[in-house]
Amino acid sequence: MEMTRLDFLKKAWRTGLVLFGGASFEVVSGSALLAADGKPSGRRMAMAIDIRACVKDAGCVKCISACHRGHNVPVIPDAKRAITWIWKDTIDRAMPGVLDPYSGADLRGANTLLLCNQCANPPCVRVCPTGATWKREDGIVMMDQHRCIGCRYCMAACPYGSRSFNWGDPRRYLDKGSVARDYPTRTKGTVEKCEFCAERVDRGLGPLCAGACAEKAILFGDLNAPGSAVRKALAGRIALRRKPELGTDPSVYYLL
Amino acid sequence: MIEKVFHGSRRYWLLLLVLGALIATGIFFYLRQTSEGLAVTGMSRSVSWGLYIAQFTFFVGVAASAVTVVLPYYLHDYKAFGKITILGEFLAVSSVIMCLLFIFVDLGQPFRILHVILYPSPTSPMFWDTVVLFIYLVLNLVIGWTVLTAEYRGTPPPSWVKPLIILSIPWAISIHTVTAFLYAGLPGRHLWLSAITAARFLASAFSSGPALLIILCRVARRYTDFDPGEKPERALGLFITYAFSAHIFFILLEVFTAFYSGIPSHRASLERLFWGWGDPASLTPFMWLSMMLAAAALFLLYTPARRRDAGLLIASIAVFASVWIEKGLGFVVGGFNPDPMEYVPAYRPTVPESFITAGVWATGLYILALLFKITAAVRARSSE
Amino acid sequence: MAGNRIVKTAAALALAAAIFGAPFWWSALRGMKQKAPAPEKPAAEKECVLPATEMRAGHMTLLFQWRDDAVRRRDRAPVAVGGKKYEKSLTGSCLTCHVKKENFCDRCHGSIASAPACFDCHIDTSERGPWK
Repeated sequence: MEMTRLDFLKKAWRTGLVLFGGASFEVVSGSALLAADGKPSGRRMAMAIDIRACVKDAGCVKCISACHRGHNVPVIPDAKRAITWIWKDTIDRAMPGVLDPYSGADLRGANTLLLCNQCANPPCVRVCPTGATWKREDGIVMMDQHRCIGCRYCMAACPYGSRSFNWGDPRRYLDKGSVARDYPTRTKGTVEKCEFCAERVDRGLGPLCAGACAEKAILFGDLNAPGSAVRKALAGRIALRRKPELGTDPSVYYLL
Repeated sequence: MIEKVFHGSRRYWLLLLVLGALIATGIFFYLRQTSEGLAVTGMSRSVSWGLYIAQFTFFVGVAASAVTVVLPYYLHDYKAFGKITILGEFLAVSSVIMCLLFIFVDLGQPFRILHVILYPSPTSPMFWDTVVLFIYLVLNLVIGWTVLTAEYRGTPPPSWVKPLIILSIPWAISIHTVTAFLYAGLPGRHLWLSAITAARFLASAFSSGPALLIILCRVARRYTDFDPGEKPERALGLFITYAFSAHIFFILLEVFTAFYSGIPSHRASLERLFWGWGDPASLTPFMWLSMMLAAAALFLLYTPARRRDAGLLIASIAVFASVWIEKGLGFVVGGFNPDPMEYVPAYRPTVPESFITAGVWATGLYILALLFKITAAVRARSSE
Repeated sequence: MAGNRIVKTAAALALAAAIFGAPFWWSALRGMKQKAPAPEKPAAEKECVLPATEMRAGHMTLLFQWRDDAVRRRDRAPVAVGGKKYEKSLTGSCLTCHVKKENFCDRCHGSIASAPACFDCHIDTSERGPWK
């Protein structure tokens, strides 16, 4: 069937409206998008990590393995180019100044889990020039791998070092026979990070790391729901967040 | 007027050939970068911006410095700058093109670059930087070309150019302020998180830009018929003295706040830059070189007898080199050090990265050579 | 003088025609004929999300719409067409019928040298061999 000029113009106009409309919708509504039914969902997904439970097994990386396997994160031998959605490091480095020679001595040198803090006031979202990263209405800071131009401004903006860049083709380090087939890989030139397993949250499941932890050290839930696992864990305990003075309002709590 | 680029001395063609070869080499390595990814550079998860963005930052300053010759001439009727405003504008054109190229070669997905325009992000300084830089490029291109065409024809320039020229003055300030805002609003990078960053950028821009202009005028005087005379150079020399003094003063202000307050996050980056002798791939030797060059430049600039002829040329080279090291390397790379996990990461540009950078410099110089050629030819003709 | 100019202009025009017409006379010389691309049709299914003509013209627009719906607008509600429900997913819907990218997508996209980057990230689930 031939397309008349009028048909073409109609289609081009509609496409333009979709693209432009989508863009201006995002500009107008800022970085918080509405759920499919148009109502804000009112949840704030958060995580509480029980440090003392986490440090029990010093060499344990079950959470990292589960996450990276489930999301096809490549294992890159060069540490400078590593891609880490979640990783472990010492509490001293994660929260400088919290431990000193006289207090918390038993936690010196102990490792804990680090990941994107899914900040409620995320600097990375502010600086992204293309809207490739944004904050969902449930608080999860998302990545659009189709939109990212790889400028790495978000990496400069993140005060926690949570973001990784694909310096080369990640598929070089992924065995095609054993990748998770229900999740895409990424390609060179884009930034990636933990997304609180948003695809699992949308199906009512918890994140892979929390499920993999043998010590049940990772708790996940809705900070705005008083009965959630996270809120119960935070009640009556001291919990720290990384660099709170920066105003980013992180959603990852470290329970002491 | 464009046909003037086809007539030149042997030296001119040799220059274009050498620059062309550098450009070709840059393209060769850039193709490699496109296929292998940015892993061919020295950047890493910790130092995620390197030579490319540092060069971008430096040359935005050079581009903004056109205002140092445009403002006195057009707003204050400082006639001595009459012959070199066009050089300032063409230098701005060449610099902005270099800036845009440096951004392009730094991108992981360069062919998605139009996403910045298709999906505007008003909260992002990078979006605004792209917009203002583009407009500045168009402004200077239109102004320079129109004024030169008028000179070529022996007529006064059309009246609509004047408002554009007046607009380019605050616009020059804005491009470098927005570039500074790229850095000065990031909560986790304490070397950059300072109100004085934008002021520092402007002061260093107004030192290194005019310094380059003086160097280019000397080259033009030596190798072409174009001679802007001594008066504009002396005036620029004086201007550089004040601007560069402000630049050094601002650095010292940062040092005071960092070390007197004693706050670890404030001190850490400056400490690593100036006292990181043992650090892997340490920048410390370069920072002290920059400071020594600055001291030498200030010595020459502060004595009127030396702020001319050979002394002024040496001072200009020293200013340019000092600012290039401090801003085109130290500031950007130093901001990533220490990284958010308190590590001290190493960064060294690789061979491909260096050749791609050289290719972009060569592109800028090539365009500048063509524009200056046309200008010199038009001037020579109109003075017959 | 004028004649000389005419000769020079004609020569320049002829050269330009030769250079810009190269794709045409080069193909003609080598006897290359344009073959219509033949993407492999799915064995079982006869219907798709949209009629074939609309799909041919608008599948990229549809895919971009699905992409932005699913990724950015969190709208993964399946699309109901002709009694069937389609997930908004390239690998989850399109490839279930069209199976192999090589036999379908590449047939047209290869012939016009416009390769979209979908499978740089999305995994071609039919392919068991190494990454292509």
